[in-house]
Amino acid sequence: MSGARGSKALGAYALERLLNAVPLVLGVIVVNFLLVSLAPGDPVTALIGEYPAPPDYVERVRAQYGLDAALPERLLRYLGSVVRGDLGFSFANRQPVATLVIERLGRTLLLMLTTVVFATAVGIVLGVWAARRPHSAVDRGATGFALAGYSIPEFWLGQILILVFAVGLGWLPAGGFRSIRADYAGWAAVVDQVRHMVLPMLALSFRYMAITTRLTRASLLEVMNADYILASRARGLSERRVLWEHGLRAAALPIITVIGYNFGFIVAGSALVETVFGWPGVGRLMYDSIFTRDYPVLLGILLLVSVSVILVNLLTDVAYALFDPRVRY
Amino acid sequence: MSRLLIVLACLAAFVAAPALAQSTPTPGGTAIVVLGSDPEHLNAGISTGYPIGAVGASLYSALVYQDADGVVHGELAEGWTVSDDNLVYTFTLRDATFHDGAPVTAADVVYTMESILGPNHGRFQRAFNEMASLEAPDARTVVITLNRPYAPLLGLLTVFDAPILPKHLYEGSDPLANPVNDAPVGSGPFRFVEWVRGERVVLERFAGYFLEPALLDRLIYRVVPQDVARSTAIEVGEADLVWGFYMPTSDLPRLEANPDVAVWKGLTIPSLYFMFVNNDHPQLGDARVRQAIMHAIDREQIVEQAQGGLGEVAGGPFGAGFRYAYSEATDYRTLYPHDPERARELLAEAGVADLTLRFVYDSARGAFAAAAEIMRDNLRQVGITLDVQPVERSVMVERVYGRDYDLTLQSFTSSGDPAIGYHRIYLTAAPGSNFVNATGYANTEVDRLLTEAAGLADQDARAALYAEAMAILAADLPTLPIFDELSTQASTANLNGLLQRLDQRDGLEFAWFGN
Amino acid sequence: MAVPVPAAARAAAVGGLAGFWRQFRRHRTGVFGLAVVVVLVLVAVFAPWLAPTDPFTTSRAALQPPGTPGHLLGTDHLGRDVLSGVIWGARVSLIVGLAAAFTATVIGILVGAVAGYFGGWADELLMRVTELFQIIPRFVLALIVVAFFGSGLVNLILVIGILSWPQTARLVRSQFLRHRTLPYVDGARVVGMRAWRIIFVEILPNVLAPVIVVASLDIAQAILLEASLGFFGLGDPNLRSWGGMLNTAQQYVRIAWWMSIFPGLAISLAVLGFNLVGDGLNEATDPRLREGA
Repeated sequence: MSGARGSKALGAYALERLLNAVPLVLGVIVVNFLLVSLAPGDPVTALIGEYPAPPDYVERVRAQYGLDAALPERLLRYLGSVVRGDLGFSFANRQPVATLVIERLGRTLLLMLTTVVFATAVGIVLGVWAARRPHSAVDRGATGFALAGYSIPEFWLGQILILVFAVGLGWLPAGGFRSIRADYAGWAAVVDQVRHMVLPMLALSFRYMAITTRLTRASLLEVMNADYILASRARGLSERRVLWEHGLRAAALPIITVIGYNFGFIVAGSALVETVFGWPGVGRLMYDSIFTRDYPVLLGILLLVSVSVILVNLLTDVAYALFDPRVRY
Repeated sequence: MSRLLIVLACLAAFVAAPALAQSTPTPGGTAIVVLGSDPEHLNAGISTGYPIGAVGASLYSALVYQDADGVVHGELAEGWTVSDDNLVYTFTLRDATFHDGAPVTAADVVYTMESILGPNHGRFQRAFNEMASLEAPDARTVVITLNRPYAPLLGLLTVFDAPILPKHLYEGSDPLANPVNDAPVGSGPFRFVEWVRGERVVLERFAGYFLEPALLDRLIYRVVPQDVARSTAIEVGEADLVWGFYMPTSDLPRLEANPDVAVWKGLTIPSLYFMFVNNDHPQLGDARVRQAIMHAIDREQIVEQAQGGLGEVAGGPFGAGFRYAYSEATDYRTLYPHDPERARELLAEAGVADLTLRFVYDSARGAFAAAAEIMRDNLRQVGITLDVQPVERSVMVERVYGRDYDLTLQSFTSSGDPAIGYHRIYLTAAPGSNFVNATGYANTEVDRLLTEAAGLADQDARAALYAEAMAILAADLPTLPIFDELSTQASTANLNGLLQRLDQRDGLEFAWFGN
Repeated sequence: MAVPVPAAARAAAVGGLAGFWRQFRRHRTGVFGLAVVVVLVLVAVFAPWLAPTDPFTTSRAALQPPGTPGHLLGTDHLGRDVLSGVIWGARVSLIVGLAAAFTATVIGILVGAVAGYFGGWADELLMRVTELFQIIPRFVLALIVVAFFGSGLVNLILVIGILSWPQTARLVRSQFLRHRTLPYVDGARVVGMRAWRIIFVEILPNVLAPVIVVASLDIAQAILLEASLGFFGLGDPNLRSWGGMLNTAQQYVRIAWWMSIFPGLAISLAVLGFNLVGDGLNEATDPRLREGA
């Protein structure tokens, strides 16, 4: 396939996928909106304090937040404002939803991206190690780790990590985003940040690491007996080079897939881990919004999560197509 | 003789020196106070939220304040007079300025009460509804005229219920959406510096404060959403003060054992935890069944395990918060001790067997979940099955005040006066009105006694009325008071001068760092 | 779903139940998983006889460490026996896991079969719906639904089940797409057999093997999801579950590690057990993998 034609076709493919995503996003918005609006309980109650408020005051608050209109009208109004890029106004925080979410998003991304990089790197190394000598002690260890890692709930792992490294050994902080007396500057601030990040990142990494290890091992084992690998070996390439260069290239595809299609899991996992470690990110905001009935924030977060999952899936498909010319698009 | 004197003097100096160093307040330093959640905004005049009140207490001032014993003193008000018929209150203002330099005048007070607090502040509304007129005859005088005598009025004019806002910044705007709410201007001992949402609110000493200026240079309110992390912050010295409201009770013993941390426990603002019983329920309408449940519940176990010891088993329908609203003759601890045997007898008398009751509570309240488990076990012993239904708060409010429940746990506070928070629990009310009588209990005699008590300023006269009401309530038992909550706080040991006011959040201008 | 879907699997190739067992037995991890699952089932069934106390019995002896007489694994903040909680919790996890996975499998088969057999607009529509369900992370959606609509046992099962079917649906669809053009299906159509009969009687039994593999992995995921919700305080309030135990343990993690360790181990073991069984089933029914291993 010639490069020019390929990239053009790839661009068209990506564009088509992107267009396909539009109705999907609309569907997501409608489903979320209905779900949240049909739930029992009145959000106005959460807005008014714990005191008997006069009915006209209650009605005024209701009207102020546009909660007095009929459901279809509210849905249309919401869709309209989302299209204009306005995610609405937070009931509880009296702040635009977009501002609120973006403020928290950076912290969540920091945690998630570090986790993905760390977990993928460690997972690949473990997987390669295991595949080098199948059924050896190293392989058994790595496989066992992968099985366990896939079964341990991350929130419990978080508790255990706190217990061991924060409470028991006192090496790392038990939670939070940075030190409360945050007068650190320069390197000290970076070190402080990293120290706060180690435990939540580990808790979140485990599952991901396990999947990557498992998949790397399986793909390598499958590929190591292929003709071209055997040929490389015959040419006298060191086993190490064969493994890392040829093997990994072949294994790249499934690894990319795993990273891409498990993105949703990391989002969900980060909600749990943020709660355990008091990490002030989007997950924590979502949890708080559920209990304050902050519909606009909740809808905004759901939309953000859905769109990012769609985008990551799309990127995964594109990457897949790039790496594997056999894929037709 | 003289030698002895010298020795004594030396000794005295030796002994007194450290004590002196301790008791002389030194200005300076930054205190870090823990908040569990970000304030939604910083206008204490339109919200009763806890974190807003916390920041507001240092930022704003009000006509009056309540000292640690609950006695009312003038703050912005130099003094006040009350007419003989208890209807007209005349306040004289001190010379005070807002943080932007403008003077605080009677017009600011009247505007704040009429246009900001009256329509928007949940608690102040109770006082506002009793007011016939609000006037400012001159720049230093405020006159409040009531429809009828209302004893709790002064208690509703503190910084938590009636912070005074600058008229010149709010007039003509929607107070709920005014940008000043995010960069507030008050007349309190500290002024606003910055607010990083989700992280911290920074205040600094206001040199132009009309009373004794604050000792601390800065006051930082840090948001620490994870409760476990809050006590850790105090322990490792990353924060200086955390109030009981934000502290996991399970961490208390550990904090108490730490010599660098000072832990305080005590009764401040009366806060009573109730089990409400739906009196409209066919079986629960029988007083004997309610009495049986009261006997069945081990309130001591609840205080000890669900409340981490931070409580006192309630002694009556109004708890222990007000001397004049308590009577030994109707102490529930002696009338209704934990006695499953007696409970079974009462149930048998009422002809009740195999009762299943829906137990509704706010799912966000962790201590309620623990109390519910103890009650489940307690009531099982007398043949009552609990169907525990923790629901999200707004659903809880709808169900409880719409009387779609059998039993529910609720907490009520009543700062300054039982008429503010507790009367509404017993006064006859229609179903569907929120945060009032949820049990459906209706007794015209109780209504009369409580309404009369609310209009009296004389505490002895009120005590007599309460005693009468409590005698009826003790037999009817429309609600089952479980315990009075004890407040607590933990602070770094060298932070002095705390707890000068009734509300822990108030009076931080007196705080200072020793050695 | 993270574990790769098994490729083509032919039940016929396995050679009956005995043959299947022979294959399954060769995978030691699968057998270990099966053992864990069997123990879990036994514990759940015989909970009333195995547990030293009722799971709800409180006492004034709170926060007793493991080894305390009468409390092998200690007590919690209300003096409840941790061992009894772990034993009774097995019931909740197992019921939710099995019932939710069953719900998901039934929905998945229906959606996948209709989409794959009929194709056309029905396929298009159903696959769009499937995609919709796959986009929002399951846990996030489950959390919101359960928080707003209640967290009773039936609700938990339905919510987890309804959010877990897309994997099965896609698998069944791809199988049906392949099978519907095979001669035996054409034959059935020619003799005038009705569509639903062809779907359920003719095709379905032939594609069930990989569906069962996915179902056993679904059980593991459902147990994990229920525990996560319980950890957020959204388990059935009238049952003592592992996730719920971890929820309260959070506050006491520094002074009572046993409140956290044992329920967490139980969850991990149960999830591991079903995952291993799924793996074992996958390898035993997939001849391609069998040769590779």
